[in-house]
Order: sequence, then structure tokens, then C-alpha cells
Amino acid sequence: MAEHVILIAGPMGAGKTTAIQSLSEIPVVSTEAANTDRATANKATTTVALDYGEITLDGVEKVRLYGVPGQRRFDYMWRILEERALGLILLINNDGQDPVGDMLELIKDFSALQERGGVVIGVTRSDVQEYPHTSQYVDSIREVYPHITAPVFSVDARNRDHMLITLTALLFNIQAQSEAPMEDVA
Amino acid sequence: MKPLHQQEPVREVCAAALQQLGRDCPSMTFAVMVSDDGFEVASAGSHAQQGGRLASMTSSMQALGDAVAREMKLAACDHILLESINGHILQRRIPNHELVLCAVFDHHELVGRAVFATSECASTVSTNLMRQAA
Repeated sequence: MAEHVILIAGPMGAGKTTAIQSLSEIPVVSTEAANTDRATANKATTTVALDYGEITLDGVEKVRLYGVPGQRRFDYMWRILEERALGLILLINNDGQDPVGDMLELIKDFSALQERGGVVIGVTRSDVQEYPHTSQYVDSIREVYPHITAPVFSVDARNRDHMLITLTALLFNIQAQSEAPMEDVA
Repeated sequence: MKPLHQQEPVREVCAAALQQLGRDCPSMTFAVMVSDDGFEVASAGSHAQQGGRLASMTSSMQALGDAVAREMKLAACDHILLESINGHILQRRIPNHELVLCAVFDHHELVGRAVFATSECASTVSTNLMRQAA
């Protein structure tokens, strides 16, 4: 059975832990701590090391899902976990202060992973905050990173189908990138 | 209520306990008390500039220790010992509080001594914070 490691990253409160809980077919291993940084995200707990879950696709592909902490002070966990990863699901909460800016910055932070694998963007909490539209995310990626292909979806991290479509799109994207002629790959 | 790392009385209790730990164990090079989510509450020792980074790492390590212990159905993780060529690091949860102590010792310290001293330190912090809250 083929095995892949996929990372789920994004700002604090974007729904990374929830997304892994939605997708995983095993009990999720989580490292939650009481959140004292309520100014950044008003939630009771926050991930301080990783979340871990697994899903089998079509009975032939096992995907190991690792969620990384959202706060930049835990970025050593980003570096540790990205070494083993094949691709990245970037979750961006639409009700953040600068969600498009957050996305662009995180694409840069994970550029090595993007280049050797692929990235998809999942915009969460669009039900809470309507703007920016997904088209603005797409336009910004085209403007700042014209060489990369990063599909953008509006998702609800609690919805397994949404997250499954996002994950499948990432795997297709990675496959397409690996099969592309060298001159087409930036 | 302010977060733990911004509460001055909590910071004072932790700072005093870390200084006492340093006096009890001269081979302690650095110690930091952190909130469960990795904010530095107090520190002591010669590498204070590293406190922020170590605070976050302490939080991650403790959470991973808890996760492994939970997975093995061993209940909560009490302390973690990391031995390296040039010394050891011992981190320990403070009973009844969302705080973790992390102490760095050079190779002159006996592991047993470090385990005992950090246990005493954690117990002192817990007792003094309970008294303060009463």
C-alpha cells in the first residue's frame, strides 16, 4: 500500500485540528494545551506540537495527516514535520485580520514543501466572514507566485466531504506536478 | 483574568523557586517555567536569552509526552528526562497548575539529584501558588 505524509498548516483557529478529526479513521493523537493567548484566537485549547490522524483512500493509499501548531513560535515543529511530507493543505480562516496576507506568507514559509510536492488552500469560516472571496486568494497567488498551481477551496473543516475533496485535489496536484515535463515545473 | 505568564504574583513565586533550584544545584545552567501553551513565566540562569525558544519547545515536549503516555494508557506524564553528552534536561509538570518546569544541567549533575531537586521545586511552586490563591 502506498503511503504519503500530508501536512495541514494555517493560522491559529483556522480549523487544522478539526480537519484532521473530520478526516481521520483512527482516534486522533492530539497535543492540546490550555490556550492563554485569547487575543489571537478565542478558544479554550491550542495545539502545541502536532495532531496526527490517518486515512486510507480507495483501499490502496494510506495518508498520514500531521497538523502543525498555528503560532509562529512553534515553527520548529513546521520544519521537523515538513521534512517527511509530500504536500500541504493550507487552511486559512476568512475572519482573520489579513487572511490573504496570511496565506501568502505561509506559502513562502512552506515553499520547499510546495516545490517538491504541492499545496492546496482551504478557506474556512467563510460563513462567519464573507469577504474576501476565494477569487481574491486565487488572484493573489497568481500575482505573487505566478509559477505555482495552488487550487483554492471554500471549506468547512467539520465537513468530512469538504476535507476529502481538498485532500484528493492535493494528491492529484502532486501527481500532476511530478509527471509534468521539467520545463513546466518552476 | 490575565494569562499566567502576565500575572506578577505567579511570576514572583516561580522566579524565587527557580533561583532556589539554582542554589541547590550549582550545575543547573538554565531553568524556565512555562505555561502549558509555551509562554515563559520566569527563568533563571546563564542562557536567559534562549528562554522564549525553550519555553515553546518545553510545551511541545510536555504535550508529546502526555500524548505518548495517554496512548500507552499510563495516565499523565509527570516528567521527561533528556540525556545528552554534555548534560541533561529535566522537565516536570507543576502539580495542580497549568505550568511546566524545564531545567538544564551540565554533566556534573547526577541524574537522581536533578530528578529530586526538580521534584522539590515543582512541589514548592504548587504549594506557594495554592497558598497565594487561598
